[in-house]
Amino acid sequence: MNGVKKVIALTGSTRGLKTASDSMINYLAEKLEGENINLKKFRAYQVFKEEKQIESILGELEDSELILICSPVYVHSLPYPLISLMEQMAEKTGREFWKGKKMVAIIHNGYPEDIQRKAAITICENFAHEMGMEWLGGIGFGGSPIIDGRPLEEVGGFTKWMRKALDDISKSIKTGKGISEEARRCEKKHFPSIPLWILKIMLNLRLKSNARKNEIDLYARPYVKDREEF
Amino acid sequence: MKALVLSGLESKNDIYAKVKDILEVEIGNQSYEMDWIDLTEKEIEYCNGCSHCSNIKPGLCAKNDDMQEIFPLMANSEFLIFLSPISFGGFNSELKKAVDRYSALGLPTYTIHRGELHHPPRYENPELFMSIGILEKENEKFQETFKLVSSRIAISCFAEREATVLLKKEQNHDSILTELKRGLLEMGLIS
Ligand SMILES: Cc1cc2nc3c(=O)[nH]c(=O)nc-3n(C[C@H](O)[C@H](O)[C@H](O)COP(=O)(O)O)c2cc1C
Repeated sequence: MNGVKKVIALTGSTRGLKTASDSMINYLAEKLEGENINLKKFRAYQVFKEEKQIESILGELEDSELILICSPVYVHSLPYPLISLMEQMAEKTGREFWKGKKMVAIIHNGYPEDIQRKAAITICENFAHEMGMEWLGGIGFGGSPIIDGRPLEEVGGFTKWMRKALDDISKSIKTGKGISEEARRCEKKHFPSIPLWILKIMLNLRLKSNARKNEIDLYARPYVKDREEF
Repeated sequence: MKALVLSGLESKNDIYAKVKDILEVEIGNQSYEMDWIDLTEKEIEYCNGCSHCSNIKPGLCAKNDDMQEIFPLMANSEFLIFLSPISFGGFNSELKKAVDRYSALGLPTYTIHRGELHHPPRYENPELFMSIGILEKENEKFQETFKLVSSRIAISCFAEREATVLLKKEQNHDSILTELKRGLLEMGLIS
């Protein structure tokens, strides 16, 4: 049974056109095209302030079977423009509108640990249930700043398991199924198992060496001198 | 001592005045001077992850909007309170527009905090963090998610003690008082 022919992807990144979210969606779009599934992408930050744009997303959603959220974690949750867009879409529609539609979420972020993505994925799940959609599951990937807006293949080994997971997700989207065990297995393998203390040292070394080179004071306190003086 | 309330709740909501009145009295009684920011009345742009506050002029946000008056208040508060209608289990967009700008208050360096990788605070960490979520209707999953979001924020701002208070839109003054007091008690602020 092929239930899905058209997918609407909403990306949460606010950082422009070359983002990890775009890299993931572009990769998935290509895979879906091979399955004769059309994916239309909307960047939340470009549309959330414009009534007409939101209406046009809802118009596109009308004849689509699946909504895909691909977003970075911003402060343990989804970015403000995406939350605003979801609130506005909910306000403008009733459960009848979403009936029969499915939803998948791909949530990625800087930190490696699963717990750092959990709340953002759960918020997507809650949205799906609140709207009356079928929740097909959420998947998460840490360390996504490494992608730096490049095509996933170009990034190389770091995106190997991510690509495998997305390949699998494109297949399960085609059949209208949820995130498979195989995709979950790839998700678990995605981030290399480096002890946090080593990761911390590596990240700080790079940061501090850049700061020295560019002569910037990482520890500046521009908004206050001292609490007592305030 | 300073307490700061960031509110994503519109003042036209019945519950708004009740929560505000109670917090003013209860937190005032504990010798806190309270600032209350209505985010719905503030012009705050979305964070576009430009890295200005981490890599260009560390600590300084490049966006010249109402956050520039809120940052010093956040940096100086010993007690931080987030108030928001619960939106799909998380903070609503009005509160989130300010919360997303939080990066300027953290250092870009990394540390291990409570067994996880985090950015340490740039200023003194708030001692107390409380989030107050307003539910439209009973929803266990939303409540659970809101508690998770709140505890994650408390960890990432390095608060020493935290509480999450869940209220329903139609709740009366006395039961709001009971819930808020329970939150303050949980943080050891009242006995
Ligand atoms: C405002 C802001 C808040 C962020 N908060 C978190 C966070 O809470 N946890 C985390 O792991 N990464 C956080 N990040 C990092 C992003 O998730 C990460 O850089 C991601 O790769 C950005 O994806 P993009 O290229 O699609 O924008 C944050 C980034 C920004 C700009």
